[in-house]
Amino acid sequence: MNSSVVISAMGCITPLGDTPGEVHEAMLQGKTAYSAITQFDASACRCSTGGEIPDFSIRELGISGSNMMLRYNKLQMKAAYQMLNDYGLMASMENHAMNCAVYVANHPVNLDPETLRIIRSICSSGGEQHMDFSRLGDQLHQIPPLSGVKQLTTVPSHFIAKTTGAHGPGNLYCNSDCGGITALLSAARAIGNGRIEQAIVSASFSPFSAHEFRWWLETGLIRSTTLQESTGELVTPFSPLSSGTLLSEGAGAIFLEKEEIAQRNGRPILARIQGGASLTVPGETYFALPMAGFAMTLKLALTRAGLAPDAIDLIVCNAPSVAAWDEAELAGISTVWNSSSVNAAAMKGYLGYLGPVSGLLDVILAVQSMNSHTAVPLNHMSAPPDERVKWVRPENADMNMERTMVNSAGPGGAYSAVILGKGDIHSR
Amino acid sequence: MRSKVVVTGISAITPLGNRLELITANLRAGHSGIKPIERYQVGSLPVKHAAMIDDSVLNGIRYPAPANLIFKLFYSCVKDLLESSSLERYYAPERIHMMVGTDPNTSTSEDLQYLYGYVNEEQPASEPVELEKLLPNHPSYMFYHAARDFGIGGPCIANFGTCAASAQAIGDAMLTLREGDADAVITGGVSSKLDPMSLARLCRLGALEPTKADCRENCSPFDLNRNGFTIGEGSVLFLLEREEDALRRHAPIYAEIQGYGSSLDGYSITDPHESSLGMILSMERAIEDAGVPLEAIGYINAHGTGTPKNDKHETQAVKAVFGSLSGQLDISSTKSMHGHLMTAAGAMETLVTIISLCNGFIPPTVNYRTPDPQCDLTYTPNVAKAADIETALTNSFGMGGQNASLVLAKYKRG
Repeated sequence: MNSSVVISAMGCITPLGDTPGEVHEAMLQGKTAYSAITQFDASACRCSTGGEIPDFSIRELGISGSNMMLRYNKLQMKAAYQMLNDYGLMASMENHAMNCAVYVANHPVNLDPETLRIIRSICSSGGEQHMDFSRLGDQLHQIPPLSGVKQLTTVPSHFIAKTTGAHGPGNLYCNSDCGGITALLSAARAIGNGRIEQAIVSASFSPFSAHEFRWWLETGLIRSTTLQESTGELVTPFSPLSSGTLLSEGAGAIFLEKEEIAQRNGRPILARIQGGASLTVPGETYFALPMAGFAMTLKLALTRAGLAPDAIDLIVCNAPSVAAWDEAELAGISTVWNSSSVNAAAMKGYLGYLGPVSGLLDVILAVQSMNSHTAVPLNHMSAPPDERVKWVRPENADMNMERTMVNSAGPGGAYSAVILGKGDIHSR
Repeated sequence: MRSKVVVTGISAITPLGNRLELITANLRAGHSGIKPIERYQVGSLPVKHAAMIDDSVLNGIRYPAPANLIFKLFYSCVKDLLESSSLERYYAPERIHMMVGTDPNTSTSEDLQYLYGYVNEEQPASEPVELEKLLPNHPSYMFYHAARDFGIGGPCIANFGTCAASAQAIGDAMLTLREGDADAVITGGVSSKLDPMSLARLCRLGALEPTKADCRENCSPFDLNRNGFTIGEGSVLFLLEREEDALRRHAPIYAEIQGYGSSLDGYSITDPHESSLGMILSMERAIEDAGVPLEAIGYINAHGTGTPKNDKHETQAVKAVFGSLSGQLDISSTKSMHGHLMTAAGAMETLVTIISLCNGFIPPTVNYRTPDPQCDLTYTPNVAKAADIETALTNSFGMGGQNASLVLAKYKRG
């Protein structure tokens, strides 16, 4: 990258709060995202716990056309609007909007319940289990005109562009669950190489529809829960006792731009993008993540940033509390930090697994950590001591972080890592 | 000086054939790949036709996992593209990337039938969902198998930009190579949205043209009586490399990807911008990126869907970009023959443009009968035109205001 690329605004919505500051603070207070799932009847599932955002609505945003949005789109708009409003971007980006890009990284959606109900009602009769699609034409009018529009992947980029007047490139990426960081790195590369001046990067995830959740349960990544369990330590990254992760919903948004434009417009420099890498290292199965993938991605990110491992003050791990993944990541980190050690945090203990949003939220929380000089401690004490990794604990959470690294990985052997340099905003 | 990015491999399964020679012959002859849908009972849907592939070509291949049509299309094209390329002798796996336009692949008939038994209103059934029944829908699952079997170690990214997706993927791939972040990129698009639910939804939106007595007469872009698009399916993948690398490994070079531009409308989720802004910006940016004068563009492969709004706005946009030159431009919409391949449309039309550059002809817009006063440019009606084109532009404009344009050039060494 030829120009310095900075993060000058961030927004998010999660079960732990509606702003990066709120979420960071909630984690420092030891709060977790999990509660009984309410968006569908999960009582028959082996896991009926997840991180839902209660009483969620975007009515107050007054978006015309919000009836075209599925829940994950609404979450995305909430995060983007919050960022745009909190940082006063709506007024100040006007001069550059023509060359502002929108990068979106969402998980591929499965069918929404509304569509499934419509298809069932049209294509089935009596107790038949076979669907007769030839009936669709007879009752075409039953299909709401917006049914197809709601499924469009371009809904969030359209509304973000419409709101901001952004007419730069639009990029809608899916790179397994690394999509958030992949999009961030692509946007940073485009800005750094002078192709665009600014970019809004966002990702969203909402897995709480009946069949999509059921699908996730079969992946082997999700732990079982009972209603009697405490929600405090359900997800325990790097613990030998961990039995899987929990899903949560949420969205994140980051505003990237050339440093000189941020400075000229008086916007805060929250962090600098110093490098990163994305790789694919397929394992034996779709859900396996080889250690080599973590090690190669971390090394490549460091190489591209021109940094040695000891230049990193904190690594925010992928660590969803899936034992095999966490072990592979730890081994990968140990391979790279073979002659030194690094502080390590893992946000998913508090927040759960948010698909492609996880990486983006980890970036947001890493920036929040750097600027508040307070890393987020692990949410449990059962991670064994490690020669190369110093777990962030409450007693060592206060630290100066010049650079953090955020690690992300997902099914299919997808890996991404980004290195963030401290910005110019520091407050305790 | 920046490196040229060139196309060194092509693999295609399209409604106009699966071999370059056949696709070329069909384009030159103005043959249509539009046929009656016979894969399932269409019933009384007003649309009973589509531009379909001959899927028998997919039968002789051993797939690494249970596969649906899209998975098969994609995997067989990657296999065809890479199996004999010996890329691994020249490039480290992490320097080989993949960027492909596609969609989340939901709502295939098989999914709907399968999910029927599992979703009872909003409560999941107690039986487990069989992952292998739904995994083939996930682009990352397709990419995983391609990466594992063919030694791809760079990022494997799906672009979901609706009808602009594969043009965006190709543009991204070109930029990745130009900026030195990869040594080879597999790019293009794959799509098959002929399933009953997708057809029904598009019918409900009024986007598809009802079937005519002879469905080969369906799809008439830029014609006064155009009445919607005809959906198509297929997979078109390219191997892109920098020129110097391609020459070093003696790879065939089909064409140069010279420029890429894209833009957002931010206007309507279903319609083009009222002043064609996004279309104008994407063309202008692609031409500027290519570093060529407007006069250099000898042919435009239009997005030309055959919907009233797209074709009118695309015409306006071409006029806005090319000014007095627009009347001399050769334009055609080959969707009139191969249909609208949706997320693979940009890849299909990149292929058509490459064929045009390499074979010295402008493919026609078939079914063009009645001129529309609002579409008053030269659309190469019904018959191919001999023309030695050096540089061409191809447009892809997607629902939700995603626009992408690519400038392609006949390859000249050095």
